[in-house]
Amino acid sequence: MITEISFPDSPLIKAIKDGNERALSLFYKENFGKIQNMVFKNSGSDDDAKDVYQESMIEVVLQIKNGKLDQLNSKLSTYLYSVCYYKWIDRLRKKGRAMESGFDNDLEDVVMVEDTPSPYLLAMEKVMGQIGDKCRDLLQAFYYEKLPMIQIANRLGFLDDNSAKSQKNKCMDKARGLAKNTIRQFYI
Amino acid sequence: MDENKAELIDRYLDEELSSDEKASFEALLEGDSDLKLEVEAQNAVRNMIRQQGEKAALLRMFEGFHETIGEKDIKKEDYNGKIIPLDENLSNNRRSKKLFKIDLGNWSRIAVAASVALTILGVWTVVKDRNAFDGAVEIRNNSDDEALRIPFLTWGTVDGKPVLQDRKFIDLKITRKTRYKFHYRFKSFLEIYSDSLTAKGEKITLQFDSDSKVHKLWIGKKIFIIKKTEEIIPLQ
Repeated sequence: MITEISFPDSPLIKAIKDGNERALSLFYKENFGKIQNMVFKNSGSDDDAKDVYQESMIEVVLQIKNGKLDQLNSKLSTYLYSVCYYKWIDRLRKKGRAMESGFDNDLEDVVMVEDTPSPYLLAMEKVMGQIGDKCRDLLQAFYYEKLPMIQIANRLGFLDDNSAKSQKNKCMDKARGLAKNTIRQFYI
Repeated sequence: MDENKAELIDRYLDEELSSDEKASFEALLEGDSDLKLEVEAQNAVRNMIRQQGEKAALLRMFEGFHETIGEKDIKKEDYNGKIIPLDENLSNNRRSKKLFKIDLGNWSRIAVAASVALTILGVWTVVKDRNAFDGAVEIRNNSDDEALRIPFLTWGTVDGKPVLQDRKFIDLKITRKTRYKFHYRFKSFLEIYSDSLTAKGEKITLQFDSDSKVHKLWIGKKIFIIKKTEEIIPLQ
């Protein structure tokens, strides 16, 4: 007997995983209205709708990039909707309010990928908040964008590549020091 | 350790040390639990920086997408001429400034202040009036129908006093049809059917009383109790 397992949106997921910006753009634009409606119906504003949508979209895209949705058995749009839905419920709860429109039956079939950040990650995020925006921008330019030092110096207004580099090292020393304490706290 | 510590740890993590350097660094690590912790900490920082960098890059990309929502790529399915709030720029507007001004006598001109852009499918057209103050947008269509966005306020009682709990907007479509004298339909947006809604300067607002769960539609100074309905029913 052949068991059929279907992954209805695997081409879309693959395209997003491969960094196809057009596919992501279409997916983004197609789904905003629905989420906006859901938020509107449940005492949210335009800002709320955009916020919750972009935050959810980031989560979903990162899950795709990490291969967590390779075997998604629902439509990606349904999945995104449910991420938004639960995120919005969370926010309403924090404000001490409830959903007005009740539970959405369509969501019952969606299997969510657990994405609750660990306390360690949250502590690390806090560390990043403590090093200051300048250090964060500098470290991001170096470690994420992998820009050459001279370009970083130009962008962030350093005299030359050497002073950018020495500032980068200072920022890393500071961040590493804070992170050390965080790790101690959690693991030792 | 002559070399800068951050750079040395980077080279170790990126596996860029020569085999000699690597061997001596690992020997150091063996006997130095603090250095071990430093390596771990730097690795965690690098991962976090990259993760945040990726999120920031995505967010920037999304902002770009968001600006062009509604310009094209609009899916027409399941909308059937419904007014869709595709206004991605609403969030940039100060909502408190939004006014809805209705030029009456003839429902063909509606100026929505503070650049509230409604994107409408079907026969609707949106005309941006460059002379209007604050980037006002005028909405017209080819028949006598009108579309606008009206305030939707939620009130509740706190300590015996009415308190505004929520302020948002709802799309309203006014259809002039002689077979409906004064009717409405209320789904995710509101439709009013009337061939006589011509009173001058009437402000239309929808209010929701969160205590009694009643929707009240204000047209000028008149209040109509309405409920969610799929059918077109009389306003009274």
